Amino acid sequence: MATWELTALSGQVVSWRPDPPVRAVVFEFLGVECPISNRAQPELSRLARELTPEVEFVPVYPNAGEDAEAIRRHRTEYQLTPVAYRDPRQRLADALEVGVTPEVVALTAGGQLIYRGRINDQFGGLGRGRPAPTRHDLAEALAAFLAGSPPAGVVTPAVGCRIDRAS
Amino acid sequence: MNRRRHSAVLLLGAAITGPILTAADPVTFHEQVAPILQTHCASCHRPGQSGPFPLLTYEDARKHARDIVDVTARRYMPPWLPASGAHPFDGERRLSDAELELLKRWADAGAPKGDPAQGPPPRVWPDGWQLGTPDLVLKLGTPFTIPAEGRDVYRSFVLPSGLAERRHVAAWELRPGSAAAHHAFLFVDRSGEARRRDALDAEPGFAGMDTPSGVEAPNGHFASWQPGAAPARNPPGLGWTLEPGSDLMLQFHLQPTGKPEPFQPEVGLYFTDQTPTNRPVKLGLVNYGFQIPAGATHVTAGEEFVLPAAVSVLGVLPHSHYLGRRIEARAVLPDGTVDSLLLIPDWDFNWQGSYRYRNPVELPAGTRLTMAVTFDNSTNNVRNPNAPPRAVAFGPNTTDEMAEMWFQLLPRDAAGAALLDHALAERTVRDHFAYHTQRLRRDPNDVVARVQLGRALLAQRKPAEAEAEFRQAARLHPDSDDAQYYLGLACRLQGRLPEAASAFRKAIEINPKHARAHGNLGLMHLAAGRSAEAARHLASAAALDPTDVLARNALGTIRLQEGRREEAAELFRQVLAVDAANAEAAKGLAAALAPRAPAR
Repeated sequence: MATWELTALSGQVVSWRPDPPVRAVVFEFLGVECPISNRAQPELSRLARELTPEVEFVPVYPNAGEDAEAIRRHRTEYQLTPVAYRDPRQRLADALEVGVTPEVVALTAGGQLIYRGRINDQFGGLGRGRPAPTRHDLAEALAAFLAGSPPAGVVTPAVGCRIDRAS
Repeated sequence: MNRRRHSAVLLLGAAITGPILTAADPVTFHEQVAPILQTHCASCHRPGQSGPFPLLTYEDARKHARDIVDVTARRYMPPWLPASGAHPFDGERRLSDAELELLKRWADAGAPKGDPAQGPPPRVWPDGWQLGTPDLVLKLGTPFTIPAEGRDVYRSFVLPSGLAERRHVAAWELRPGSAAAHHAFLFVDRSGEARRRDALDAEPGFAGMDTPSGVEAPNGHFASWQPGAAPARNPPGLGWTLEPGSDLMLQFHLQPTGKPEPFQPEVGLYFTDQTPTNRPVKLGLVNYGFQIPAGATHVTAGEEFVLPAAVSVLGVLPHSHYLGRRIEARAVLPDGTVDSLLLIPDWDFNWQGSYRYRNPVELPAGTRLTMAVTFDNSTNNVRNPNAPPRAVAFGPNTTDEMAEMWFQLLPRDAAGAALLDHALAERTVRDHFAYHTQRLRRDPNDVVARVQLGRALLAQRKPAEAEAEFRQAARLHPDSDDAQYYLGLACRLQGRLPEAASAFRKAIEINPKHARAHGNLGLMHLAAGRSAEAARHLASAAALDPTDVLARNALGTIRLQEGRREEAAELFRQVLAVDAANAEAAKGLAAALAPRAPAR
């Protein structure tokens, strides 16, 4: 089992590890103000509900300018689970090669890459989108893994708002 | 040196010769960036408006610095689709190349803050209605809930005007009250069709991108809305008219935001006592026949129209869906000069709307107006709603396509207006033909399209071809009253009276309340001298259709001959109530009211 250092909204650094029956972890990098991130949120929440307890979704807010209070407000406003983490110095984002919100990284419980990139293909650029997604890339990758495929390490380009990095 | 003045000089130089700032000249938020954001961005990017985040303070802008550079460099923001051209539009929202360069230099330098004392004072926006207190505010009665997740929502909402008398509208302003509203069109409905559609389910409004028949844009006008577009008053004499009892219909494109959004838009109307004196007309260049193969990158659909009279072009409204990439409208003058009226190099369905020329474009008679929409149906088009791409043609859904360019034209005088009306009427018939032909290509069993195609042929005085369409419609749908009725009409126009009568009778058999079948049958009996049968059918037609003038006049004449003068007088009065200038009814009424000849 891989162990991760995460910063709780309280500021406390916790050591976090997926325990059985969790087989896969999805780090979801979110932005409070990013419209693409917010529009993808219901799909993430739905997947989290459908795939629990085999898949655990971990919300992470990597933007330097978003404080715990703004994140709590965001969780309430969008009716999300209260537990979330911050990554204000982008240590986790950099380790996982994440550059925008929304972007997801799906790993096996042991830390092998299953999938990294977009949630679906609705947007091809900021403001350039289809009326509805035609592919749900994250859901497809997780379904294949849960059905027994080896972790494929598929990477798609994530489209969204650039992470506001600590200077 | 005064730093502010220094920047102004540099900006001026940049506008003429391109960016000449050097690395030694710092670009800061307060000095150069804040004025750009205040002028071009913050009308939407402030609390309570449509922008997803504010861009008022240094911290607001710093957080999004790289994205600001990206979306402005691609000219996605500020949203303004037309390329700059010879004929500027009202409300243009384009950043200059010098402004784009300043934003980029600022972000590249790490988004420095600068000295607040050197920045502009905070901008103040008017609260509430931008044009002042409206004369009439109409608000959606029950809020609609936009779902948190899912595809874009296309939905129309009905707002009854409650007007007891005719009013002239000088301006309208829309307040959607939600950032989920992406664009909207305002329509007027006198037919009640929008209400009927709305009543089909309990939810407010009704779904779809189509406009029900009978629902029309304000006469001669475009009425479009998009976030950040400032409402404007029509020039004097160019208002539009709202008849008593009319409903307004707002057709919205809504984008889910990730949380359920209550949606309760309101419209403010600003009336004028001035009767519209200028009557603009709308010309639509619409291509119905294009076919876009799957994977094709450069399929172009064009149309054209030769102006029969000189006009002023007041505005233009392009329309396409998600595969349209480039849209252009041109005027080819009689001497061959080509004038570009609109060029959209990177079409975006989400930001569609109409454009009003700052100065109307004057075009002489004989000018050829053209339009061309170029489609990209490949996977390179990130907006393609179909993955993998599939063959696409004209149709009403988001996964279908359209190629349209509408012009708002003002003829110079009455003679010009008459010429234009005549040419547009012919074009309308031609367009109906093309539209219904396309519908039949999609579905050969579409009986409504088959009947409408026949009607277009009748209007083009091709009754034999029309008859073939009606016969096929009748074969496909033996229970279609309209197929039988129009078959009767086509036969009657070709002088085949027994066949005509038989078809009208069948229409009545299928639908005993088919007013026009009764009317036609009545007139045929009358022409054949069978006045008792004529009177029976004409009375049915009159009872079923309060506006049927022909049946009333014919029946009135029969009643006069029968000596039933009071009944005749009442029928002629009913005609005159609908059509005060009807000479036959006036003559009939005079005869019905004349003193009886003394008995011999």
